[in-house]
Amino acid sequence: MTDVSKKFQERVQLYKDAARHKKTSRVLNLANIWTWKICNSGYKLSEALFDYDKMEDIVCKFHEKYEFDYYMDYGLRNPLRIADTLGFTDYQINDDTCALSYVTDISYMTEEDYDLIIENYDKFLWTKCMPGRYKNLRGSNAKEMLKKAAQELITYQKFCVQMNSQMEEDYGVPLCLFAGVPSVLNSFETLYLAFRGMKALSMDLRRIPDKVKAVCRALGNGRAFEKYKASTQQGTDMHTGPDFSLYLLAHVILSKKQFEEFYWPLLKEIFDFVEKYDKIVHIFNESENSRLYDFYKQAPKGHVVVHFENDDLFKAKKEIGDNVCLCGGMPSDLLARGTKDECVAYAKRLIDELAADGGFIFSQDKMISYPNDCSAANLLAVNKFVQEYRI
Amino acid sequence: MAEQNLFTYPEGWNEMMAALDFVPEEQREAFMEDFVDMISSICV
Amino acid sequence: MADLNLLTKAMGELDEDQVMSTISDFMASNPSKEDTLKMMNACQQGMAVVGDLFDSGEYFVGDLIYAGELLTKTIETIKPALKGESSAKVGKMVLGTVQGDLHDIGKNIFKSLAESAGFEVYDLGIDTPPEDFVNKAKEVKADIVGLSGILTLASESMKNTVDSLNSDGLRDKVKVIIGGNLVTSDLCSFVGADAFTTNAAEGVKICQGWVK
Repeated sequence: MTDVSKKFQERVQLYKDAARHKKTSRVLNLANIWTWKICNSGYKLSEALFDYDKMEDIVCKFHEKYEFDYYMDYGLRNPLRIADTLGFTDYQINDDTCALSYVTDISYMTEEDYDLIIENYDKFLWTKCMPGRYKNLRGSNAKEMLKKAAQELITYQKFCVQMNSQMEEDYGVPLCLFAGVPSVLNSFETLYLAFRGMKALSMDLRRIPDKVKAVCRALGNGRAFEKYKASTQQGTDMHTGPDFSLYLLAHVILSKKQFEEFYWPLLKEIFDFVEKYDKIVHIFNESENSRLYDFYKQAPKGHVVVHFENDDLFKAKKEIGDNVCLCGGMPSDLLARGTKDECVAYAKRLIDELAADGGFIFSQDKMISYPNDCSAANLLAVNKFVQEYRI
Repeated sequence: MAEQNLFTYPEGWNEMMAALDFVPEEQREAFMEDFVDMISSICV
Repeated sequence: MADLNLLTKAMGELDEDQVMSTISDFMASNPSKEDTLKMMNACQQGMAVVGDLFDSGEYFVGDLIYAGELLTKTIETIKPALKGESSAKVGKMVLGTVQGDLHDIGKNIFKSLAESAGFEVYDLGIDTPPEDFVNKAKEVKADIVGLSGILTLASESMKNTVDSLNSDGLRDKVKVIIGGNLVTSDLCSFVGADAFTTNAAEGVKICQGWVK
């Protein structure tokens, strides 16, 4: 076995062991690093996001410098080339500040469209969502634009496969969590992120709650999940860390009571599935989530890894640490503005208190995206410590 | 069919699917579904 | 005159139909300015109930968004009867999402709650450069400057804004509160703000404490 494949096996095993709450000799270090890796690369953000060769160079060099065990993203998060082909303009790139930002919360569907979604989802996507979202498609060359976008999608998919294989073959790093392992975007998230937006969905929850529920029932955990279920076999895949990933973003508008009503049936289906098929799911949770701990207490032990953004992980460990493997914890505030010693001391505390009996994966709390989200020197010091520290 | 009517269903959908001639015919239906799904919910 | 307690209760329960029917019946009665101010006050008290229910966990962010919309709709309906008069203001606040950040839902929630608590709010919108905060705060003689942001990128912009308030000699004259998903006690010290919050209702209470 080569050193690279040994590293690969070790990383997969460490992930599985952490998820299964087995004690490990060291913790796994997951990079919750997004466009930040571009900011120190010597490439402009606008170049890197449109040039897959440059992105590949950035990702590889980043890994050679920081040597994380796992990555959330290999530069695949922002498929701007596809969106650009369709004339999508609801975003801004600022090369001076290395910032990609979006015009947020635009609603691409109306209250009336709920019925159409249930009746014929493809018809809704094609007749309402597409021309609403991409105004340039209302012109005379829509078909040509869409053909180009479809070709860009194929190019993007090839880049995803290539980037994931390269990281495995050259560095022994398993599939990343975004566009590596399968991702599930459930119907409530889709309504929130893609169709209705935060504000309109918040209104719908009060004005037409039955319609929201009906769409959630009809579309469930989404097509990608249905396809995954249909194609998968019993048992966790020993070639990846998690079997699939899930992003909880839309829950930020929901009270505990609303979560139980609108979201829990979807999450419960995932919990039941991973238990029945002996799978592991990695769930990234935006914002602070302590109101949801009663639901996480119902997670099947050994099958669910929960990455929290703003939660106090020491408190989370006490409350739900027996059921789920926790992930995250390293504050971006500290990485950005603390000293190296402060950062390493905090990393040590996280590992000592959260990983002593297994069930913890080390990572940054927030998605590290902009230049001042993190100091490179602090990140290097923390990574060296996490790689070398033995529990 | 006039270009401005491309976003009809199933006529425009089928017309678009037929235009994806760089995708093998037997995969075209599944590709079209994934493609439309993806670009309808793309978050850059 | 409508039942003010009923209106406060309906607003607190986010019962849109009840609120709007009470308001339209009231407006149909050709109300006096004094009565209209009382109605406005009842709505504001309802919003305070919403804030309390948020604090207790009964309501969450989506409910605050809904409450903000409901209040805006109510005020727009009532406004003509005020004939230019407004209720007494407790303080002036300049508010905006800081430079580089385009998110405004959190800011708008805070704005609704602050207005219903009696603040005169000057909303500068999104992606607001530091100089715009400084200029507006000077122009209106603001008591409070509220800086909002979601992206971690906003931390630098918040700091730059407070630095600009400092270099223009305004910092001692205003209180600064930062809000949004990214803010923490560490960030508050880094930025040089007086307070921070991830909770709009709590933020308004902090501001009320400053203008007492």
